[in-house]
Amino acid sequence: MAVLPDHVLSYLQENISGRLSPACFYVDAHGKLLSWSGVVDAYPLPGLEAGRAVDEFIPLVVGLNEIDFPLVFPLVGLAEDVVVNVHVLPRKAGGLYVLLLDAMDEYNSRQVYQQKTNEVQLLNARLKKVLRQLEKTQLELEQKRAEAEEASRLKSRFIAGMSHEFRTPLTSIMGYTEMLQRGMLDSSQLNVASQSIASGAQHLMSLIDNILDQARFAAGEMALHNAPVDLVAVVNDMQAMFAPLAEQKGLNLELLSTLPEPCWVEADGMRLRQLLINLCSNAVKYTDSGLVMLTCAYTEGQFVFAVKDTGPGIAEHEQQFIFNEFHRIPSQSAKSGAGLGLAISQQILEMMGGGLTLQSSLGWGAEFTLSVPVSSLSRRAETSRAGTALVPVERTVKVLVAEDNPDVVQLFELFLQSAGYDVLVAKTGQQAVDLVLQHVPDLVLMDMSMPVLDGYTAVQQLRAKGFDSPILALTASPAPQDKARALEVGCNSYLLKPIAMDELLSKVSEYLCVEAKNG
Amino acid sequence: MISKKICMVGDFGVGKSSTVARYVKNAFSDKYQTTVGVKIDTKEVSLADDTELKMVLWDIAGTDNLKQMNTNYLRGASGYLLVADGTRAETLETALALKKQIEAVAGNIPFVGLLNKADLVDDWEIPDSQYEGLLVRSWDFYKTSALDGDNIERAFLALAHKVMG
Amino acid sequence: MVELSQQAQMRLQQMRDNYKQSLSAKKNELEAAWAQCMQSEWEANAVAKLQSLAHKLGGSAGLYGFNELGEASRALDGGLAGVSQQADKASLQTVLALMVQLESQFSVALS
Repeated sequence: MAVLPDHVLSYLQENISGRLSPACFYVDAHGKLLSWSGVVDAYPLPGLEAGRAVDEFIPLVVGLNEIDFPLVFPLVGLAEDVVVNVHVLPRKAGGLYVLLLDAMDEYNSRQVYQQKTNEVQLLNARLKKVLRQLEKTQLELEQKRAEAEEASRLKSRFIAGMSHEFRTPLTSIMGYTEMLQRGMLDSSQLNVASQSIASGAQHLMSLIDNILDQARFAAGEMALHNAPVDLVAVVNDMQAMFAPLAEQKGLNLELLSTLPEPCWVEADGMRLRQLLINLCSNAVKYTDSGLVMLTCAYTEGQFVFAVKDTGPGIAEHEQQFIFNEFHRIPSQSAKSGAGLGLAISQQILEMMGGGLTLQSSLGWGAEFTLSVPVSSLSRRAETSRAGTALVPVERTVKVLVAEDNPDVVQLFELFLQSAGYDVLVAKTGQQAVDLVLQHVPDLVLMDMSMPVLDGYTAVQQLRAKGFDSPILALTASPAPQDKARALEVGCNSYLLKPIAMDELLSKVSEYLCVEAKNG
Repeated sequence: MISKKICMVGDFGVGKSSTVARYVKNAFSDKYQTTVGVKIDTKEVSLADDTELKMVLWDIAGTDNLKQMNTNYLRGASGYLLVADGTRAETLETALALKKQIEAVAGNIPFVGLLNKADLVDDWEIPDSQYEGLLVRSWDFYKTSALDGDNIERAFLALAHKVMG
Repeated sequence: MVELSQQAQMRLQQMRDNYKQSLSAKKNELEAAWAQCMQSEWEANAVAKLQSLAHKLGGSAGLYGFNELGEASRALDGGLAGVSQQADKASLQTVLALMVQLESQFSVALS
């Protein structure tokens, strides 16, 4: 290219100088500032001093040692409102020329454009994020809707199933009562009739209990009442309860326990019994020959109870359904039972922090294993068991005795009063309910066979009304189903009549100590 | 006093300039003003062994591709800070890609990673597992916040020590 | 055994005496109910009445120290439950035997 004429060059220089404010700095090979020229004042480089290291004034040269060819650093911001294009040129004599050219105009226009572009991109990114979130929420809602629909379906199925369950015993009851009313039965048939009506009513009762349990559970209202429980007593009761029935069916009922004796733990005794009764009852019911084995242990804070039977077993494809609310194995559906037991058992166990597992295969029996964490208690009130004088109570404890036999009542009264309790007496189940609700005693002794509302119903009503204190059942019947019934309706324990007075007092004291402890 | 050139690289909008502002001036503004070209600042630090280091910070305009950057900016750098925005997962990928590109240009110079905007806990997109995955490769990554200053000084000091060898 | 106050002990003794004295009346009641059963050929209500009396006696006799009497009553109670289900010759024979046993226990108790 031909060299421009001088005056054009100088015009060019003036123009450029005017616009670009060139400033040039001469740096030696050792990085020291030699001198400078040009519009140095246009830039914030105060205190320039020859002979000092250049990076004291112009830090941007740090790191640039040997360069062979010009380096351009465009749009370098030295300070607020100071942006330069930096040209670094090698000096023939060694060192550098550092040329600063003002670049504010270029910077400003670029900045505006760049700013807009970036902002748009950032907004887009945010938008995408929001959309992703919306999609996720939509999926979640969809899932919730499906779950709600499924729950609704299950409920309908439940109601339909329940309706069927209720009709069966009701049909029997209504049929027989109709025949009775029409005088269509002779004396020999009367017993059959009354038996059927009674068992139908019993069946209905347990159905209702089950449903109530389910409902309470679903509403989150089922509360556990923890108290000291001797696991040894509980498992022994199971054996005692089911031994007669097993014997009747010709089954071997065995109990294998590695529990220390006694084995006191903190648990809801009533619920625990309910669970064990459910398992044992199923095993005995569905096994027609062979063995039902109960094993139990307490290790690492877990109470483990297994019921193994030599019954027909449960096919693998059935096993997953067995814990459903209504399920009954088709081949066994002839046997009575609401089919709710296992479902509610599992729920109760889960609430207690435990679990229920099943091992079985068709033709090889079944083993149900229940495990629940319970904390052990080191000691229990000994005084009442030692047979020595009772520890006097701190305040007047109220005990209600519900018993229709006056000979029995007066004796109980005498001993209970001597032990320092305030005694209230009820002669019928109805009276018992009324008095308990009125006076809220600390403990109730309830005879199970009273007129005008029997003991079972009375206890049920009291528990339903929220009466929490211990209720001890007095029953003359050693039959396991009566014992089980007493516990199921909410009694804490049962006492067989006739009962020795010291045993009565010791049991009363035991359950009251517990109450006081839980206070 | 020794002076060393340190570059700040990362995707745009991750908070490089805010980090510098916090470190150098102890100031923060939530106004986003995109950097064009490069901004230069200096900060003097005292290291553990009582030596003084002047860090010349080159705050380079954000980009997701080194090809868009003027590689001259990287020339002579002794170390760099790799900055990503913890609330935008893609910026971490950009940072790691940039790291590779920087190594090709400037060699294996020391670096420190910043996952910035740690104060925006609800929008955080980097899972702990990914974070640990970075640490496991002996990479120094810090969760920082230019807004509250969390870990900023630590990160710079760490790089300063690395750069001094 | 729990410690009873002097007063309570006296009361207990009195209750025991009263109970013993009531035994002959209870015996009569049972015998009348038994007769009714025989007469009505074991009609359900009569059986129920007899059973109720046996049940009550079974629940109280033991408390007052008349253990064998109580046992015999409970046995009769159980036997009668068998009759209310099925009034056949075998169960009636059983019940008869139990009634005889109960009678003899009454004699012992009342002596």
